[in-house]
Amino acid sequence: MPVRLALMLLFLALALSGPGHSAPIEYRATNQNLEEARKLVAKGRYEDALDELRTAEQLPGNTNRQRADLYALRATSLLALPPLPAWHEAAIEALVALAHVDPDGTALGTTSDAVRALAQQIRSERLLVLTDRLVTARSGRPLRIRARVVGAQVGAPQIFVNYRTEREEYDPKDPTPGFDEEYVRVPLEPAGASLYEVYLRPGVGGVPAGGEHVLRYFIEATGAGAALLDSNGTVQDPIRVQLSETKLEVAGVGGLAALDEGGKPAHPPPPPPPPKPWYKRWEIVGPVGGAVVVGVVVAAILLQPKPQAPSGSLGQVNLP
Amino acid sequence: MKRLALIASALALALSSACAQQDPALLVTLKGQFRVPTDADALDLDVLDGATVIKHAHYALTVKTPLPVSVSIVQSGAAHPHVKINAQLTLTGMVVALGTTSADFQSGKTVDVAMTLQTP
Repeated sequence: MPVRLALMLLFLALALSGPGHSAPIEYRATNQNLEEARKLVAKGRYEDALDELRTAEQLPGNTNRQRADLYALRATSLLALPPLPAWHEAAIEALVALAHVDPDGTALGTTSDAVRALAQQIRSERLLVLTDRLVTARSGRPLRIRARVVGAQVGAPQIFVNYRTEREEYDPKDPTPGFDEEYVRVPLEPAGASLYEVYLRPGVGGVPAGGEHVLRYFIEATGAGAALLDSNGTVQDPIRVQLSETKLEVAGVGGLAALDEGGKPAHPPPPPPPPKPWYKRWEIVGPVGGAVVVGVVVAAILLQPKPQAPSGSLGQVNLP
Repeated sequence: MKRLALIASALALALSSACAQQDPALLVTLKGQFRVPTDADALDLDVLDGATVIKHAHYALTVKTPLPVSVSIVQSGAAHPHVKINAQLTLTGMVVALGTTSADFQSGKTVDVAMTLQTP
């Protein structure tokens, strides 16, 4: 009896462990390794923090906010170590990556003065392509990709977006039909001072007309001789956008609204209520109306005809 | 609230003032074929209520007040509903013309009265 029961339990365990019952992958809301690295940096254990950050970076599902914090902590740790050229170069690399995922530099607020100074130096000495990274966007609508070029520039750079689309989540081991192996390369047009943009229109150039898709893209700036000056995202690590008909548009590290629909925010903030017209405001109409009425009455009194003598008059005699 | 009360009271006061009637008056126009100041240089008026002179007025006439000339007689109340007006035109103290007329005051109105001065 115990043997039979053991066999049944073993069979049940094997059945439940089959592929048909595997739970879907759920990303954690917090990156534990990133949080651990944050604590290590606070304690001054920078080499340990760099190890944790290496692990944290490899975890899937990092948000732009988490990546920005990760790069900021890495730069902080590297610059806190004894000065070596290799670490300095790695800190620069981390700060460039930080600028790419956090163009406003909000994550720099928690870093050291040395990190902020180096970040400022980078922005003044080299060209950077910055963009509010889209996270989700409404499918079936024109999608605006916008980039800003900052830093040192020699001549006018050319900006390109390279994109490809996938049906839902791309699994390299099992590419679904419709997956675009090659990136489509499209130039961005100047749209103002150091500003460039392009619209990816549904059904054109491999952009899906609708439905749930994933768009991966990266933006490159090239100079003379097609030399690569900077790339926001890469072929190996492109920016991922979920094209959805149901999810809200999100961009950037702070949840900015994605820009599509011909440059208008897809979900603009609700307009403020129109101000109450002045003629409906009692504090204005009351005194003004009262003054007008009093003025009219006074004028009527003053203009009232009096017994006045015509020209050649001797004046007035008042009887007792 | 206090401001509203002030506005309302001012409005009421103004409206009550606007509704008040003017005093009753007579606009007496004196005419005559006399040149001023060559033929006449002074005018005397007497306003009588019955046989009582209730008002006397004396005017020195100049080139700015040739004939015809007018004078307003106003009373603030209604004490003299009917009056008689006597006029006397003089030249260096000598009477050159006389005139007389009677008139009734009308409440809130100005009544036009004409008087012709004639040599006595």
